[in-house]
Parts: sequence; structure tokens; C-alpha cells
Amino acid sequence: MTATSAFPTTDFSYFCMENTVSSKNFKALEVPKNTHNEQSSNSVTWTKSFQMFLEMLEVIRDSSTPNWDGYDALPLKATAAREAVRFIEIMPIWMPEPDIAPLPNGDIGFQWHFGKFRILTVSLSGKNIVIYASILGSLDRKKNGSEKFNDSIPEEVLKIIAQIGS
Amino acid sequence: MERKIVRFISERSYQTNTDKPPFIELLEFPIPNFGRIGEVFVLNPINEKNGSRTLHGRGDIKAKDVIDVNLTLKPNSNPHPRHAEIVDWPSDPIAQQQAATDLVAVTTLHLLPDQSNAYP
Repeated sequence: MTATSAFPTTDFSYFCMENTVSSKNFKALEVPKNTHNEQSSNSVTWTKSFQMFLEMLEVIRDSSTPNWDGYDALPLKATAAREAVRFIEIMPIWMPEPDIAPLPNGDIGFQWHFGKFRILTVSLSGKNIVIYASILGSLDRKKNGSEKFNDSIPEEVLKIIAQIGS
Repeated sequence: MERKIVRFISERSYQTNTDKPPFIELLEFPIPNFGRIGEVFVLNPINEKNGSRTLHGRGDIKAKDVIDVNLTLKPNSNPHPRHAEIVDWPSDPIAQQQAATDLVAVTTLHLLPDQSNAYP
């Protein structure tokens, strides 16, 4: 398969609940078609995306109830899950797959680990903001910040991945 | 002897960033049968509440590395006499995430090849 838009209109990437996600009761949300931008048209192959979406479903299943970690974690927020799904969908093809993990505050985190001191973490809270933190080769070289999540992967995140992943 | 701490991992990630002080399962080394402690004091209480998690492994962190990223180790005898928490996380979410990322960098991950044969 060539690197074309990953998902047809029947994709399952928009499954969510109104308030918190639940693996028992998915709902397909109304999402406008043709929202794929230039970046998403170069998005990851279907197979790669499919694996990541399966991982997302696992995350949803594992973190959909309060106290899922045994230490009072909040359930994964539907808005955060929705953003995470969108993030995956628009990832460029060259971007390696992250580890996906729920966070105890109901957010969702992505982590790229290219080596001991080559790490990028991204978190999504469902508020259209991407928070990122990274280590760029040594502990005294870091880059972090927050960017608006406007249906494209923030430029800074792409730059960091390109830098530490090469 | 160099002080080490260990976090038992039953979730998908050992990243801990959160907007409230993250709770991390930590036990100071050296301690005998710490694998068993992980099961009894960490995994079993989770499973009592939330089904069937398994122990994936552990992350070892030097106590010094925790201090070096401006965090603090705070002993807490619950649920185990040698349990401790990492506290003093920054309130700013970006700084907090950077601190969690720094901890990931200094953590040595030991994944279990066979979860039925958890720890020595």
C-alpha cells in the first residue's frame, strides 16, 4: 500500500463517548468528511495506523473506569481520546509509532523513546493543546512547550522527532 | 551503597506526568524478595479493584537522579514500610511533563520475559 490517506469514511477512529470513554459502549461521533489536510494526505499507511488504533482501543479499555491504576486515576476523557485518535490519523508517514498510555489525570500521552537520552513525550487533554517535553541527546539539552492542536501536528513536535529519531 | 528505588509496572507506561502529584510505587533497595512485594503490595490491590493486570516489569531509578531533576523522595509507610513517593512536582504542566520525561530518561527498564516467573 502506498502512503495515501489512511482512513476511508468508515474508519473507527472517532469512536468515543460523550463524557468518558468506555470500551463497552462505543459511539461513532459525527465528524465532517474531507477534513484531512495536506499533512494527513501523507499520513501513515493503513496497516501502521490500524496497529496504533488497536493500541488506542486497548488504552480505552484499560482506562475507562475511575481508579483504573489503583491510585485514584481519573477515567480517560473522551475529548482527550478523540484528540489522540486525530493525532494518530494525521501523523506523517515518516513519523515512528509512539507508545500510547493513559495518564492518571484523564489525559493521554504519547512517548517516543529512541535511546536513553533521546525521548519525546506528548500529552493531549482534549483542550486543543499539545504539551511536549523532550530530551535531545543529554540531560542538559531539552526542549518543551505547548502548542495549539489545530488539526495538524505542531511543527516543533515534528522537528524534535526528526532530530532525535534520525 | 548507592540508593536505588524501583517502580513496579502494571500499566502501559512508566511515564507519570499528571496535574496532581503522581503516585509512584517505590521501594528502596536493597530489599529481599522485592518481586513478591510488587505482586502483594502493588499488583494485587490494583487487581482487587480493577480486574486482571499483570506485572510487566520494573523501572529502577537512582535516588540521586530523582533529586537531580528537582523532585523529592518522601517515605510513606503505606502500603509497605519501605514505600516512598516522588513528590514536589512542578505545578506548571509543561515543567511537570519535562520532569516526568527526565525520570523516564534515567530509569532502567527491566521487562519480564515470563510474567509467571516474575522476579528472583
